[in-house]
Amino acid sequence: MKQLLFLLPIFCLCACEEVIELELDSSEQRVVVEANLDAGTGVCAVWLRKSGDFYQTNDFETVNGAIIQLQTSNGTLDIPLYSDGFYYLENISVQPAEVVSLRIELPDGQLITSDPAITPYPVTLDSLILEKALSGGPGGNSGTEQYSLAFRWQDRAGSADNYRLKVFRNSRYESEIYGLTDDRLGDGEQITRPIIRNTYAPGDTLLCQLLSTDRAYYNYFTDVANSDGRALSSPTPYNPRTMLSGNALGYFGVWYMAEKVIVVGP
Amino acid sequence: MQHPLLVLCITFLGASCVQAQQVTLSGYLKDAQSGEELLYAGVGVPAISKHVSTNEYGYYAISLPKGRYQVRFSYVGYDSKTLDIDLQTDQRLDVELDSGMALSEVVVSAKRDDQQLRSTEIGVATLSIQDAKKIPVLFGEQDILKTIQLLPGVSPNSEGSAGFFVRGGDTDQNLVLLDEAPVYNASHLLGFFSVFNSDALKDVKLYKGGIPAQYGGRISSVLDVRMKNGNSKKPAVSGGIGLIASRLTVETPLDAAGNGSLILSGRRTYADLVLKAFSNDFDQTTLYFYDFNAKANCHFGEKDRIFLSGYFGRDVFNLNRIGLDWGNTTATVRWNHVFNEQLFSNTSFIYSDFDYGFGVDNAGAGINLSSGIFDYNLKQDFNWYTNPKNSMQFGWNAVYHQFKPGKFTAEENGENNQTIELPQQQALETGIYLDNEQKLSNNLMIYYGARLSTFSNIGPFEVKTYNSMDQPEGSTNYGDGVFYHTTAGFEPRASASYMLNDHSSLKAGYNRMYQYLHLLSNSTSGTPTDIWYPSTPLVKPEIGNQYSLGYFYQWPDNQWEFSVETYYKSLNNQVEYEDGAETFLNPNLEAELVFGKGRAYGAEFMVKKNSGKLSGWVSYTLSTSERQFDAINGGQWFSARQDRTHDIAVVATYQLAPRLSASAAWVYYTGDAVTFPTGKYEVDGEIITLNSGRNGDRMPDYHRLDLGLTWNFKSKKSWNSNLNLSIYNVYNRKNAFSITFEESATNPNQTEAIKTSLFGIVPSLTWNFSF
Repeated sequence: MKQLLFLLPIFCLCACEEVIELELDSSEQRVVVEANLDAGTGVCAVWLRKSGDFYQTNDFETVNGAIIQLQTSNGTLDIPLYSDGFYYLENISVQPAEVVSLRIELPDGQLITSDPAITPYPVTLDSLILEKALSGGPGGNSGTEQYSLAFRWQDRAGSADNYRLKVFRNSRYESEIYGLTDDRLGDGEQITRPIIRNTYAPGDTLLCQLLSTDRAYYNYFTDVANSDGRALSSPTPYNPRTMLSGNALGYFGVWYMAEKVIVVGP
Repeated sequence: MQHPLLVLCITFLGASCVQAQQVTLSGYLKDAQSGEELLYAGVGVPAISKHVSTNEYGYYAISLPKGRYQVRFSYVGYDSKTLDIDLQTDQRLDVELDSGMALSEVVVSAKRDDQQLRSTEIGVATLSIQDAKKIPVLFGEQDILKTIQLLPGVSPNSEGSAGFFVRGGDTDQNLVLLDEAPVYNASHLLGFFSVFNSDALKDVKLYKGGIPAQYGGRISSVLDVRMKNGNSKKPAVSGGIGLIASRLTVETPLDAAGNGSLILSGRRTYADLVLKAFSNDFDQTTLYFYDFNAKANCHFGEKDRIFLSGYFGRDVFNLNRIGLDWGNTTATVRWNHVFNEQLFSNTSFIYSDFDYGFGVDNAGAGINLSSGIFDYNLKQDFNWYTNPKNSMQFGWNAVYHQFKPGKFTAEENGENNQTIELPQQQALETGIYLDNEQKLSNNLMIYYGARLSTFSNIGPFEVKTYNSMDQPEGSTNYGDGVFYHTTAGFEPRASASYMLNDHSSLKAGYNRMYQYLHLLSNSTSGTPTDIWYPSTPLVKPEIGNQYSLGYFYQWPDNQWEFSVETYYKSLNNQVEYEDGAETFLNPNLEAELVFGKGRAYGAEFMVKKNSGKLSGWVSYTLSTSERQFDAINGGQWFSARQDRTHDIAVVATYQLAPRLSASAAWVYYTGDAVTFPTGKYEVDGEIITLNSGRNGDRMPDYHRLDLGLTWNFKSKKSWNSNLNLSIYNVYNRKNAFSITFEESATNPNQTEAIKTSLFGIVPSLTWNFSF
């Protein structure tokens, strides 16, 4: 629904937004895991932080001293602490369809485990398509020429594949774009998917990443996208369902990534 | 289940056998100027305390012992007429009333004279379309769905919305009928306007409780909207030009004898044209809705009449690369037949269709989504005015539903290259009913009846079963035309009215309703993307039981009245999506549903002034509405979003001068029950809110004052016109439409709560004319 709110000025030029102060309840701090295994480069990177009160700053307490283990078919690998709250390991070898999982033992002894994730298949990003966008209108960009962007790639036949599209505009990650799609519409076919939320100006340098992800990662970010009101309609707020146990928030995902860079031309 | 039906039949037979030496006076009650039938109007013989109402076609029949009577015919906004009638044999008498005193009447009238006191109806209100036009409204666009929200027990879905909640129920639990055809989405422009063009409407009746057995299919309320038949005496044109929409209605008799009439009515918004005139930013924007109503009726002798009516309306948005398009189509063919003075029948064939489309076109790649539902309904109703003490209704109907849950297509350079469609579902819904209103004594009237409904799923369809992880574990395929699952519901209805004295009465009512269609929505506010879904072997029918009790008092001069009604409602087999449900073209949608129950109870108070220079009402509702789902909120009861503890409406119209009237409406209600965050965390560069509990917080309270002025220009021959000035939200209250939680625009290292308010003060001017 929120996305449709851009229609509202049409009916009433006095629709307005204002910042308000609310008395919000606090809940106990929970551990937040962000664990990504890039199957293509063999890098596993894990952030461990804690949740905070809504009105605090976005500097979240980190968790150091945890024992993090990645379990693959070749055995268990320790992911060492690299910097404050950040755990990192390179040269990991995993293959498509290989089952991997994560085990985290926090300093206080609390145990967090992930559901087993099935490593997806690699993907190639064939092309990026830029097309002049219609200008103006609510939600549009009046005044300057704008371009819309679409990704095109070939889906792998015979497997259920899940994808996430990411865009870095002039080196800034557009984290508000979730770009989630799968191959239910046509297994093994060429897929073209637009970035619906944003348009781009001439001169913008766009780093476009196409992730082929495991299903649990895809489901988690689908929940994130839906729960924060960025979908067409906003449901009653809820916490995204996670594949992690131990009252943890966040996710563990394994993916292959392909990328291309394009400069938006006039 | 057969046993209670048998008892009912025996009771009915007993009631109908109470035949004395009686004769029947029957006919139609009509508007003297236009020939329009007057629905639910009063016909009474005060001397013997006998009162009946015209039915939904304006027909009445009153059975009396032979004799001479003074019979009074009355209708709100019309001069009453009392006729001296020597009734020795059955007599047909069509009566016309003049609309003489309408200017100072109020908008809503439960009944005329003391009918509200005597009738067994409880939780029922009718709405005069003419008078509803005086209430100030948003953008000056008159809307009956917004006017009924000023009644106790009825509240809006959200600010400016035409959607409504009745006595704590959900919006999909209201049956909205237009000339008997169900309207599956009664909203335009994201809910800010209803599909009902007031110019084409004649009468509206809302059943909040005490729902008669002839209605079924929804557990919360019935809104029965009837279109005008058209002027059968002379051609007439009326219309209006407003801020964002204009209307035009043409009515004409079909012949000089007044044997039939035709009405055509259209309305179109032009918000996009206005915006384009002001700014180039909207050059590529298409944004409008339109409605078209048509109705024709023709008499074939005194006993037969055929009606054809239809509605067609659509919304069209195209904003940059995003397009939305949805609409309703309904068509009704009706045949009224008077078998004899005591037996009236109506046969209807009804078609209703709702479809929705959403599309995005970007960089040559387009995606489209569509869904919908349509019905064919055959319906037969009888009114049998058996004797002076009994009035019986019975009938049946059968509806064939087809559900189109979703079709998705992807296009590239205009060519369709990918399609996915969820399997359509079919079902047959039937109902058979019988009820009777019986006068047991001068003080006591009772109503009793029952409806037996069934719902059958019809193949082809693949029925799946799911394991505890919500994954399909088995399926059965059913072939074309196979009735693979049938469920039935017995729905008793009863009410009673006891006159305590000439000015006050006590009433009680009970009804049980079954609902076989469910609106699946993952939105807090409802969007056209919501899906109508049938009951299935897994999704049980919703069942509502409502108990109500009321006290009604009317001052001796009938100018003032007071009522208090209390109710308790239980809601079983409630359906919701589980948190995070995958709703997009999910072939296993049923696995994403959770089931629970609900309860709602409250008290509604209303003081109303019916006539005089100042008229209007004050209503107050104190209520609770809660839900319980094992899979939500840890299985604990939680407040439904529409749980608005206090709900107040003050409505007044004042005749300032013979041609100038003023009106005001003030509303207040407790803020919606919502879920606010109890913390936050970071994931992938985004701040995510942490939530706990369901609907444990409250939006700020809502209140608003609207004012209106109507100036009637001097009539010239048959030309009439008026100018209406409406000011919405006079004191510019910034009511919260939504509260969202986001990163601060000025300090990205902070998060903040953003309140969005839709409408500040909104003045509007509308010019209406008729000739």
